[in-house]
Amino acid sequence: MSKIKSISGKRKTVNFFSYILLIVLSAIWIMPLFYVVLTSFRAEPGAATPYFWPKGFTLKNYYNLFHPTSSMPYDFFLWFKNTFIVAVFSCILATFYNLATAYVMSRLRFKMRKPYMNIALILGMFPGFMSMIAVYYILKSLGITQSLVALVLVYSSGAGLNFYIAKGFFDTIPKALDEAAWIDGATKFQVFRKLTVPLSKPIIVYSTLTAFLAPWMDFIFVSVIMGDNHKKYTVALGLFKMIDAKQVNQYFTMFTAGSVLVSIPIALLFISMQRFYVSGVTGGSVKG
Amino acid sequence: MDKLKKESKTNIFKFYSKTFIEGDIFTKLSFIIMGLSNLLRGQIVKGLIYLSLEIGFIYFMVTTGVSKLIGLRTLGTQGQHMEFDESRGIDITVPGDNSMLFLLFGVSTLFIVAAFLVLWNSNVKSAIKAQQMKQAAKKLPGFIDDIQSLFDKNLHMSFLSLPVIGILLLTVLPLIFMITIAFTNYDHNHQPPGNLFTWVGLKNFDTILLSGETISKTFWPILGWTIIWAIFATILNYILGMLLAMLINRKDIKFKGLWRTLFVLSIAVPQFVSLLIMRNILADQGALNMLLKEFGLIEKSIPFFTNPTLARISVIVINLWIGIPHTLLITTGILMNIPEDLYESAKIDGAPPFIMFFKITLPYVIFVTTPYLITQFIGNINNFNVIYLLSAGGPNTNEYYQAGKTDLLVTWLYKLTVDKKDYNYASTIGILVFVISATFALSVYRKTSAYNNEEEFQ
Amino acid sequence: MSLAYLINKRKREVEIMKKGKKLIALLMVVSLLVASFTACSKKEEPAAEKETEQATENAEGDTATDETKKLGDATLKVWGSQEDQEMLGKMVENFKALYPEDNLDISLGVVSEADAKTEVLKDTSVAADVFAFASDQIAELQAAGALYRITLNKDAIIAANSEPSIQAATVGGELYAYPSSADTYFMYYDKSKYTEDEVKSLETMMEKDLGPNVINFSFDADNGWYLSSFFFAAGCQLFGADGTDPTTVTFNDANGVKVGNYLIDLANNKKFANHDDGLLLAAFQGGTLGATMSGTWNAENISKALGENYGVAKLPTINLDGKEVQLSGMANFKLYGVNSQTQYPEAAMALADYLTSKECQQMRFETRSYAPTNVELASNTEALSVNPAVAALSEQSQYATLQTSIPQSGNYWAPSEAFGAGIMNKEVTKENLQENLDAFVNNILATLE
Repeated sequence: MSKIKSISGKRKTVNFFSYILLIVLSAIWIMPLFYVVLTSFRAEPGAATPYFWPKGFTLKNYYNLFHPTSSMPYDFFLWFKNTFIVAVFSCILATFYNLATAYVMSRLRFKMRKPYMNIALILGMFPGFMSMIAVYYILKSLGITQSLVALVLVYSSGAGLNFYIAKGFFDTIPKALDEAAWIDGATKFQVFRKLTVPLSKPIIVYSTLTAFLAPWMDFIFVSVIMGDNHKKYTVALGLFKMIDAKQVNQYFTMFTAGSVLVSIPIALLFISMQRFYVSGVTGGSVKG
Repeated sequence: MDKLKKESKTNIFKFYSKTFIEGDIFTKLSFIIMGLSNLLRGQIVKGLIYLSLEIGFIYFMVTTGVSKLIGLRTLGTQGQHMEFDESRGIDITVPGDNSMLFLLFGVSTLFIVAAFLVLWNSNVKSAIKAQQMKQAAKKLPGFIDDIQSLFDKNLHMSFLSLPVIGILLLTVLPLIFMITIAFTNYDHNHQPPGNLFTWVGLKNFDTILLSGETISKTFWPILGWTIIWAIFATILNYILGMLLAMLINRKDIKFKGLWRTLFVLSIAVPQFVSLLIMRNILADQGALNMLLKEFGLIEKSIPFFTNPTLARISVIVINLWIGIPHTLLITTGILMNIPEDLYESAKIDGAPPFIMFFKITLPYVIFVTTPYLITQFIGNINNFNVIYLLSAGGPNTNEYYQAGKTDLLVTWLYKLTVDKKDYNYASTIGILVFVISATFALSVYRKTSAYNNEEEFQ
Repeated sequence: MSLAYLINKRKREVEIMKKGKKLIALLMVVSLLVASFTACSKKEEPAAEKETEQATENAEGDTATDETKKLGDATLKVWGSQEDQEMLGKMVENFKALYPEDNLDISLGVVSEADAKTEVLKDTSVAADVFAFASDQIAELQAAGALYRITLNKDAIIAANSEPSIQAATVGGELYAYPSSADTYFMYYDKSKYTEDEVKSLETMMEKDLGPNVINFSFDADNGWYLSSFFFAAGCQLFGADGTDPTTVTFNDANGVKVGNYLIDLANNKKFANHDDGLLLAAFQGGTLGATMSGTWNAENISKALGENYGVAKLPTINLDGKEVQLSGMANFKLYGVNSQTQYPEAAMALADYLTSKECQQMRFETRSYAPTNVELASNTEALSVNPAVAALSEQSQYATLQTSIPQSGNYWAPSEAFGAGIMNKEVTKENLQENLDAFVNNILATLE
């Protein structure tokens, strides 16, 4: 009896410290984000303050984002729209590429399979921006520089290389299911569409989410592709241009306001999809 | 399986000669006029596609391809220059060759030639197959049958075609273009359109690896730091992230979803925002130092990014902030899948928790996530964002050429390309990084069970 | 297979397009020629009238060309920073009004002066016909063959603009760009902390007790742009006397050592701080900073932060081994260049010339607080005093050292940052100063081959 009590007592202290640890850690994780939000409401301009709590609060930073003027000609709404369009289309394409490649690698056997898998593993290792200039000229010879189409292509084209996680997931779906369907006369495409896809919700969500995020984060490729056409900027590039070293004091609070607006939808998406994300990534290992 | 493959490789010429000898006149002619065998044996659409592609290819080679290949050899002979026009009173630009475009178009043409060879190969195969089937009095598959097979037997072709085109066009072609630049003298003194650059062989590799001059004095130390960084960043993120996941996974912890969300939120904020904010907070006169001074905890600012050693620690630690949530996401599910009885029996044996972690949890999770770990390690070698946005490679040091103490190879070569326009050296460094990471990744990956026991999974 | 096909097809299309374009261009040129011949013979008289009218109109704007007022039809693109777009739009409209007979189609693109080199060299053929850039990029742009040599109206441009600005626009004795505004840094100070007399000498400023936790003077010490002012004050040379010799830097001579010692003492002074640009505002606003070095881009915000106490002045003098010397900042200029690949060189040159004319420089000063390079405007201290920051900049310009623009000068920034940081975090001491200065200089001079 007393032993049980001491165990539960020990458990209580462990729990207590676990909670303390979690609270401290999550505070550390949230603090910078909180600081971004705080800065976005800061009334006084400037890139940094030697104090944490702003001296005055304002909504002006948000207001300015949506009311470009001659002295603050940053059209946030337009950038947001561009990014959204690019994100939607590139995530549709990328998800298809990703799933199709993963399915083929997991289920079908053909001559180039292993070489393809090895090449895919190492191809991503060459620093990407090194080839930016070549990508630019290739897009130019296709006649699509400074267009959102080019961005969609650039962001989705690599998806056929990142199939490993999805392949791991497909590997866990018993092959016997496929075989049964084949015996019933289904084609391989039908098996993919009617059997595999419905079973793969988590990994589809995971792929979609990852692909959807890329256009919101990249500011390097988009600047090479869009050049002088600021009407085609994405939010990431637009925001990044705002804090060009010399203008940093002028626009920093506006920059953080823009960042908050970008982060909110992504965060909401993440939270609602987290369930899938967790099981999507790891589902592939269930049988490992 | 492997043996078969080897045979088919060595016998590829045998295959052609055998096909040529055994083939009837149509098949023989198909070696030159593509698609003829199919065309004349009833596979009209297929034959026409082969034929029209061949005509297209020949037309391309005659009109542009050949000149592009010649251009690839010289990379241009006539530079752009100016001629003064008396009547207009201004210089007139006489356009010249653009070495960079010559190189790019030359490489693209090689791609097209390679693609044509693949096509030609499939044409020969298809020709002899059509002949054999005809001889065996089998019905030849029509165009519709071919299309249908793309949804069944040849599903991999239809599924892979678009992704592979994307990869070839926007990943492989640019990659090969960049690799070739390492063998040229495309540096800041040879910028197009005003200047030509040309092939220099292995000179750049020699300069970087062996010369012992400026750039090689920088390369080796930065390589060392890059590896240290990659090891620490990967392992710390992995272990600490896993521990955090275990902490949240504890039975008694409530609101698991909430805790996870709090950590995962940091992924939703673009890195160029969160890292720039971090940099501001940790600056010498930033919010954190000021706060600590106000509390009287420190006298002088802590030089988070200005002291070389501390800067290196800072970037590793701040990278935890970025990396741990990712590991948390990845490992949560795996941890829940570890069979409970493994722990039970260990408990009965009286194993303390940390032994259980190292003997059960860690091996299990590593077993499952090796591919992820490898990608993470490589990702960290090439972790441009964190370093560039956080410390920009600083603090700079005069021991290095145009680099700082936290510069990774990848950020250094970014500086070399964007700021200094020394593409040739940047590309050479890129190749070296690539060789290092690829060798590492492939050798490790080939040892993993995920690779070797692939078939057993299913 | 479909890849080869696609590429083939695309290539052919591009080729055909190219050929087509050439053909169209040729046709256009021919028809233009024909049209202009016929037009000339018909409209000679009115055109001449127009010319004289405009010539009288522009008699005051001294940079206006005396040559014919006809440029021919042209499609041009101009690059400027995002903030300048509206102003540029107005200038372009004014320019078009000067040539009512020509069909000028002028569009604007956003590329800041700082990014111009990167964008132009990325793809010169699609870069703007006329673009603004910072003067330190001129050597590389010229070397890459991206700039037109300026031959039209050259003497008038040289006469109208200050000598340093012309020097900054010159490469190898030839003029390659049109000066548009001057840029250097000067001193901002809090008038409640210093009097106008006190800000003349850094020693006086540092000696004053402004109270606890107040920084008397700050600058971004690990930034070569500001750090150089101390070395230049002592007479050290960056790339030789005229900044064009890639093998000579004298920052490590006896004078350089004096500067090094001075900076070490400064770093050890608790009343000094290494502030980068981002921290200035808060420090001024909180009343914890006496004075700092910065440029016009911060003027608006600092004046808001300091309110009535907003003060600007030229940089102070420093006492180097008993000798008073004037701090001499780096001077940079914003220039307009004409793309060597432009289809319409004459029209592009006329536009660049106009965009940097007295009229436009005046407009730039009024709307964007850019300091003019036009001698007439720059010497009119009364007019400039409307904007104290620009006035201070103009004054400081006399003591500034032209920022060098040879390709090797790109090597200066990282080593100077390293040296500045070394001083600030006490790694550079009086004992190892010479070594560090030598490493600093060697690294600036380093070449890859």
